Amino acid sequence: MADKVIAKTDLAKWIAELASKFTVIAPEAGEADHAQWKEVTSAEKFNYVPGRYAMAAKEFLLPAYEVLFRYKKDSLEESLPEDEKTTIMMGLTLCDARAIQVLDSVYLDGKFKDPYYAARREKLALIASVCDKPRWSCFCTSVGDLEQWAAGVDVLITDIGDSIYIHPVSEIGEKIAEGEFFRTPTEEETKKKNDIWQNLIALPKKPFAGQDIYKMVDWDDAIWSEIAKKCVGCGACSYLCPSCSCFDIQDEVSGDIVERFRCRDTCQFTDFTLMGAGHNPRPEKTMRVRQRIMHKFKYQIEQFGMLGCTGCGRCVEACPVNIDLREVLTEIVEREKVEAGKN
Amino acid sequence: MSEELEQKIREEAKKLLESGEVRLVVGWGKGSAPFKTTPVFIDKPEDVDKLVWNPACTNNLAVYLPQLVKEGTIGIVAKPCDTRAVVTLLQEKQIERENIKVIGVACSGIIDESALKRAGIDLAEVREIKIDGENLLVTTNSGTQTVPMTQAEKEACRICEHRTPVFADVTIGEAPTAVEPEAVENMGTPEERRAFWAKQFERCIRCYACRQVCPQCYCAVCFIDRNDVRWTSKKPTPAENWMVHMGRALHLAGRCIECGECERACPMDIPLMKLNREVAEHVEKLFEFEAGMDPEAAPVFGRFEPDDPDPNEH
Repeated sequence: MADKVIAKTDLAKWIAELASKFTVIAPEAGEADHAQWKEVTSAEKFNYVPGRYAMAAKEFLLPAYEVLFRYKKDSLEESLPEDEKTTIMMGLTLCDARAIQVLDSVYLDGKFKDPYYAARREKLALIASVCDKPRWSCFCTSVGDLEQWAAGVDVLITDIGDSIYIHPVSEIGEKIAEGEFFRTPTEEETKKKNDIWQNLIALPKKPFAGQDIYKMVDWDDAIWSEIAKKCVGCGACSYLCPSCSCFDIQDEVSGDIVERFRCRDTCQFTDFTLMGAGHNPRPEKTMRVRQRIMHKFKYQIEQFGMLGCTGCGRCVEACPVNIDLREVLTEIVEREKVEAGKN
Repeated sequence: MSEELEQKIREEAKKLLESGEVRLVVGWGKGSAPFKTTPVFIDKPEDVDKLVWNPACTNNLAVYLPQLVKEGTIGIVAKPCDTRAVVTLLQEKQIERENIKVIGVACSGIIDESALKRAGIDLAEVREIKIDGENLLVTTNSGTQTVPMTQAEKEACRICEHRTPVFADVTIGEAPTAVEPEAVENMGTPEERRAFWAKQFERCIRCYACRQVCPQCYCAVCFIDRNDVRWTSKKPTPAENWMVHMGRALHLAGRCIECGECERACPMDIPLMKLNREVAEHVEKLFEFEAGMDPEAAPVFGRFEPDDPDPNEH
């Protein structure tokens, strides 16, 4: 597939073209870090600042809440998402695009396909951008193979200064990068793009990178109670996490209509998976802290063969008591080394 | 300056642990970035060097006290606002005086990451931060930048009038220059205020970081979480989010000590302190009560006088 470039001054045209053919979802313009993912109807509304926003793309695929169905005495109305058009997500970072693959493994798994997620996901194309400047909290190269992540998007774009370098990856990606405002990249432009990529994949790796971390996270590790001491039990880490996927389902009655909805939930909350009869499988904070990390770094590897973490650093930045996941994983690896030394 | 105070904090903590007066000292330790610190729980005298004091010591550690005191006397390193939280916990009988030892530290303000970003600092480049008089010195890969503290600190700190501990067993450091009281911001007409907050609350993701970092939010089951009597839905619509935040603000009336931690912890940058300050001012005017000043005073919610003012008349 042929690579292209587009001048930044022509971006508005491209966006208009895309918006006429597809539903385009991107971080809302005008907001800072906490921009929300909204439908783009005109170029002014599009936030082309490559970067990582507070809310990840899951805000679109797994909304904060969604009504599953409503029922009355003898009628039931299901509310599946209904957009017929292909939806394009723009403004994703590569880690956020990877997170969608993690969500896919949970929601589109052969055994249990989630119809609500599937309705949005099956018509979704991803335009991911290559970061040229990591945030202080980033560690993507320590948890994955970026070449492999890049192969999973539809279009990969790189900001090379006055222009954007476009690399279509899939068939739909090629359609996305169609228009008279594209031209063939010069050698210099290709070099710039390659340099940015090389810089990204050469980012220093953390001590836990490339390790079989899933073999090291241990149910009985003393580290869980150490973290639990300072953890205040909020859900910032998992609500901002691009790949955390848990939800709660509740019924609410209004007049003679019952509405069943699902909304985000997190293993960090005391009432997470609290049973109707009062049994709580994770009554202690230590257990809840352990659950989040073991889920991402052990269970998801065992179930789906992939880590549940993309190194986006949101939890690192959001934790109000500075529980830095990178430090936790490093500590786990260090302790493992000490243990190995003893044997 | 910071270093000297830090040394004194360590000495005081060491004394408390060596004498066996406390089983644990909770303080701030080195964080994972130069603009971060993290709570540390020191139970051995030889570990006191893990305690730090710098303008990133943001957490109000009083949040841990009600749980920690259950297992014996606790030493706590506390900024002036944190000492007010301790006072409120004493007033509300969540902790007992004999179960705590307070190492109070005078404070010239705590930095805010969002403020630093607004001041043009790239956090990824920061190597060191330091207070120098009224300025913050930020050393980055490309040199040292000077940012006035008023532009680098939490909004709650910028307007804070209590810069020395109000309650402590030992006080470290001296009061920095007093801050002139600043009137509560006029947020406009009721319609304008409603529109402002509707926009803010729309962003709330219900992670409850605001509640969880708050030393005054110690309820065994928060009204937000109750599902036997349902005060608010788990569905985060703007209207339900409104209920969550207004409910919290009212529950904090006469109790919020304005440390600004809720606002700092909010990953969506919702300016919660604007709300809390407004409520605090009403309580001060109506009841001549400022939260967390006198451990002997009965809390506003816990007392009744026949001639209490009627808010409808104000």
